[in-house]
Amino acid sequence: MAFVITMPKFGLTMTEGTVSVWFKAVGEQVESGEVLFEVETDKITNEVTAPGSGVLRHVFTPAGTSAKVGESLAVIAGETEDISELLGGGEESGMERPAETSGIEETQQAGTSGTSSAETDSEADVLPGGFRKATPLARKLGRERGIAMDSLAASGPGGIVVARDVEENRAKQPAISPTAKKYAEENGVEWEQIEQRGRIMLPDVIAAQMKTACASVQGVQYEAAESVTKPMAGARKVIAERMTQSWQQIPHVTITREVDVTRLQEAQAVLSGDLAEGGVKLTLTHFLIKIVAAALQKHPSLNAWCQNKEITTHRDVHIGVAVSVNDGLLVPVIPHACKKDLGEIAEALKDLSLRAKEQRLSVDEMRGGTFTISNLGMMGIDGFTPIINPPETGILGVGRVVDKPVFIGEEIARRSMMTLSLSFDHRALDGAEAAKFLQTVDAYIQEPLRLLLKGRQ
Amino acid sequence: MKKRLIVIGGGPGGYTAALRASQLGAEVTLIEKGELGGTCLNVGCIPTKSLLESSQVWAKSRQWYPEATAREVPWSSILKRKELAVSQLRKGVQGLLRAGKIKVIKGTASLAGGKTVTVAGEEALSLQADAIILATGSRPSLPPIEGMNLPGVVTSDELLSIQSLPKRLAIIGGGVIGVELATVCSELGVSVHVIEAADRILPNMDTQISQQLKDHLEKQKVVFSLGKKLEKILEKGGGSLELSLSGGESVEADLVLVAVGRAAVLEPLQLERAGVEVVRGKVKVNAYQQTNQPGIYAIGDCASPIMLAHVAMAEGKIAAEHALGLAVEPLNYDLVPQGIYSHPEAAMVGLTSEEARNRGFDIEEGIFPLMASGKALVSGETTGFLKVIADKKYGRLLGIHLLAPHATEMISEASLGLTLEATIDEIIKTVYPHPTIAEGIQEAALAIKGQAIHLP
Ligand SMILES: Cc1cc2nc3c(=O)[nH]c(=O)nc-3n(C[C@H](O)[C@H](O)[C@H](O)COP(=O)(O)OP(=O)(O)OC[C@H]3O[C@@H](n4cnc5c(N)ncnc54)[C@H](O)[C@@H]3O)c2cc1C
Repeated sequence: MAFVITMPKFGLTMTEGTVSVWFKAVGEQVESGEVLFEVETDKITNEVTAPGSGVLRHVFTPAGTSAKVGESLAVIAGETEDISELLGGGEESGMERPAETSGIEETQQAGTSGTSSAETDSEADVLPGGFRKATPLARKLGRERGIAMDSLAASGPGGIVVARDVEENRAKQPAISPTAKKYAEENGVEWEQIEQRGRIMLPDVIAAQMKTACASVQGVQYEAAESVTKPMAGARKVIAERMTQSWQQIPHVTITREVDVTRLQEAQAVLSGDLAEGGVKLTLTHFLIKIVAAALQKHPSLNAWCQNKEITTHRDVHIGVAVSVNDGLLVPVIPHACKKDLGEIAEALKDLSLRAKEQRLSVDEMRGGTFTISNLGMMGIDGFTPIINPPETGILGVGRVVDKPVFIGEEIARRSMMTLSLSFDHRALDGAEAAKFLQTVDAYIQEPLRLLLKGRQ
Repeated sequence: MKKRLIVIGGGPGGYTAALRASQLGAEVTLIEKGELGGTCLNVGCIPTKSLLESSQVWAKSRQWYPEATAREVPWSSILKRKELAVSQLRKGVQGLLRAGKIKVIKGTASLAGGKTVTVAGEEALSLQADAIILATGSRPSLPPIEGMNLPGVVTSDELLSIQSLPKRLAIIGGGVIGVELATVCSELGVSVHVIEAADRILPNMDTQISQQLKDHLEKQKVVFSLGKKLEKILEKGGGSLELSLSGGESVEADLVLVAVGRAAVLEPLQLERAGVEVVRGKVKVNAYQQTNQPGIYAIGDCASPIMLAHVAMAEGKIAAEHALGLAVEPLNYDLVPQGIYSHPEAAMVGLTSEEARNRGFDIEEGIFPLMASGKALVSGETTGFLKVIADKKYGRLLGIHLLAPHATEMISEASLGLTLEATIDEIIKTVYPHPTIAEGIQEAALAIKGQAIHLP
């Protein structure tokens, strides 16, 4: 197993560090947990241990040179393992490593405790008129020294500036809840950058993370860490059990179809402008939910539950959308998706996925789905085999959009193409029916205006 | 011009909305068909808490000073004390509304379409408004079971003012109201039998709370039939009633209290005339308490997923502020504390362990039993525990569950903690006064880390 060692982040403000010493030379055997190199920043010096065992095969950053947080520093791999793919990645900045590079274990921060936690949480509560809460003593001290209250961090209860803050003249930082801060640090969200009038709460951090998620997937960081084995727990365990059960008990068949989403993207561009005022951003996922909901009404065998040798077909469409959350995967359900317009779908999905990430969804909001959509397109995936979410009979996997040359008649044109992967329960229906469903979906994708026509095949 | 706002219903939800709207400069009219203060003040929170104070003082005195309390239960004085509290608070609400320049109309209001409200009262009125807030509350619901209309079968409304105490009371429903009134009556020497269809009392609370509270009440001679449904009630003569339960059991009682839930009061409103949508018996609202009709809001028991006075008040504020154009934040129902004023009291905020696991959290629990609390010992109330549930990853507080004297007061600290997204570290850093029961919350948090001081 090959590992890419990257520049770890030791503090909130750390953006780059210098490798001061390599304790191993290229070609040497490295044991997991052994000290591998030392990092210096303007604040700290830290030793970093190897996240796994192997041979130090390549060093991108020789001693004395610096690298940005997340940038590749070295590769540890088996003696004869092919690492050419990883070396390619080293030339670009480590941040741009494609997510799908295989054979690398995604690991956490190195075996050091890292962050300095000496900073006191500060509060930035400013009263409506820009008036900053401060104790009389703090005000007096501030006047004496010519320091404005609103330039200060507040360490008093309820975000009040106390004398100590003036004496230390500490610059103002936004206030953040303890949970939000821990989450931000662990997930590498730069909470200092979050624009927020009041105290930053977990939902704010998650929202900021979601905003940048698409931009940063390509830069998944492989940070150095010791390998740890621990039993599956909590959500992971539940997911593992459910997926195994589904895979073992349901005869899955996956069919794929490449579709031309050029027209759909045009429609998206037009409608996004209309909706932008309401703060809603339309994505292809929203369109696909709408389209799938419409198609399911025409193909009820995929809008059905198969359990206990019974098939229940549903008239109403409730679409589950797989949302990846901290440590797992949740599938909140958009109820009555067939009756909602695009704006409503966008809002419902935004609300559900935000709350899914905050773990604020009730069990009821994850139950009752009649079909599931799983989109890995934004992660750069072309096509995959989604596993059915029982008792549903189908799940649609959505791939990424890639511009390709396509023959239209005799002409070659540049078109945006996307692969849809539909897994279905072969007990409940057969390939032809599933294929027809994808055909309907494709017809809507080719011509989104068809969504305006009600019913009738 | 001032915005005109009509509030229908003068319970805690309605009067809070009215007062908030008047603070914001609206011209407010409040219509109430009965007494100001609604269920909460007249036949809910306040009277039950008054009776509970009385019954506890009586029971403790009996235990501690038997020679001074050898006489009969002073029920009429207990009732008088309750009436006094209610009438004084009602005057208080009246005074607040007057100070807020809110016009109070006595009568039954209904919607007439658009934003017109008609009132049938001493004089018939038709009023126009820019916004309407529906706050008509709830009333006890009676299940469709044979014998519900027999004399001797009552709801909490009647029980709270009953002229003399029965010898044997059967309570249908082991929810909050059932448990609170079982506490009152058993402390006053009534033999109480509680029948509950679920397999535990207080089915929405932490399981350990249900269990320990039940054990405790059993020690006070309350009898429980759990997992049993009432099938019918028959008159047996001599004022005695017989209840047949599923599974063949039968229970005799002189009085039957039906406390199986409450239903929204919607009929007099004639919602259909304004096209206001109803789902599952309640007015349908969004996170800002708006109904499907622009400018019409609904709050409290007639609309809310949680039927509690403080929820009604919080929703009332949201509705008033939203109606008057303020940017408001919706209520986070996960953070609503719930209290049960039994003895010992029970209170919770956040998630139970079960719910937290369902949502995918990997959790840890710390428990501090009151047996280990010095303060509980001197109060002679060592039944109970304090439980802290946190997520393993960040130590984020997910739920706090208390079964202890003053639990309903202590839970506020927990609510604040959860609202601020505190972790167990903040509880651990806080300095708690000693001796208190509250210091046990810190011990429970420390127990998660295996560092509790007063636990072995
Ligand atoms: C026995 C008991 C104990 C309780 N204990 C607690 C407790 O300890 N803590 C707690 O938080 N909650 C408690 N509750 C619940 C609490 O009382 C309710 O949640 C709360 O009163 C709801 O407030 P509201 O304003 O929505 O409605 P209500 O208090 O029910 O008020 C509604 C008002 O609207 C009036 N009304 C209805 N229709 C019309 C109409 N068409 N025109 C004019 N007026 C109308 C009614 O007369 C009533 O006064 C208890 C309830 C009961 C029954």
